[in-house]
Amino acid sequence: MKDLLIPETDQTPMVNFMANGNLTISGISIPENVLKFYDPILAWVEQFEKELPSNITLTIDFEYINSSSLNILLFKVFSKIISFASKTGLKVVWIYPEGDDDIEDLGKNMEEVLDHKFEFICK
Amino acid sequence: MIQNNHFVALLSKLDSNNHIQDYLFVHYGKMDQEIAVATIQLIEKKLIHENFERNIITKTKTICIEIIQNIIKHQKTHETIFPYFVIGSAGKEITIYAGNVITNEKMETISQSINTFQTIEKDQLKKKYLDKLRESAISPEGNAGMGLMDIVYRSEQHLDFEMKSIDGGLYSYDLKVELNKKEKATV
Repeated sequence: MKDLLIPETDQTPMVNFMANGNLTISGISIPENVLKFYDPILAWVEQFEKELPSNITLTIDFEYINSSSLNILLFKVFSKIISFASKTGLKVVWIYPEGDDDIEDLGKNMEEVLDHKFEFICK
Repeated sequence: MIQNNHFVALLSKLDSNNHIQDYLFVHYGKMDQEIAVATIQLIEKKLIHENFERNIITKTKTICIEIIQNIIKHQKTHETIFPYFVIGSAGKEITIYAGNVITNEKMETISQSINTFQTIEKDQLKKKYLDKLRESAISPEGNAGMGLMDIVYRSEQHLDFEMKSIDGGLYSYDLKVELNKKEKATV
């Protein structure tokens, strides 16, 4: 299947989901219409499930996100990817800037809610 | 000369309180997503220029986008009262003032949500926030009130609000959020 590459904008993140299992999402997520932005990403993830590689690394590097994005990511995108852990190797990496305990805290909260261990990297 | 009495009264009220020594940003009028994005970018630049700590900048941006996007989502048209958004600082403390015109139904929903979140015991705040996130993860409907919960959580409950009935069955909604405060604010 094709890789999914969505460039970053001033209100939506860069999404680089590769069929080989390297999935990266980074930047800002504050779109007014979260479904319009994230539904195509979810569609790709659902297709990805049919041809899972032996290892997946999900790298998350947000600058800040709104609660609507948090809902979609938790409810649809990330929870779907986390479910792949039962079928293949899955590593989740949460990147946060040095001194930004707000973003670090968001990662720890998501780790707890998704019930999957994150690796935390300070950049 | 400013013609809008509501705006004049608002500035007078802000000038008379002790929470703002410097104004970082003032917006009065209807808002949209384009204004929201530009506002956050400008606020970030100002906070960096004023040497605020990184985590405070992130916290401020996150709270601001929640407030502004809520204003956009719920704003109602009124002849003389318009939404507003003001950020000020006193030392390293930040105070955000925001206002909107909303329906009676929204007034009740917002009041109930904030009152519920504000009465959470401080040591239970994180647990309740995580519970709300889990609720949010289970269903899209669980997301209702998540924005307000996010503001309450990130501001550590340093939040106050007022609802006033105005004509047309509408309400003016005024919100104050304080960040980087060492003690809980009094009304």
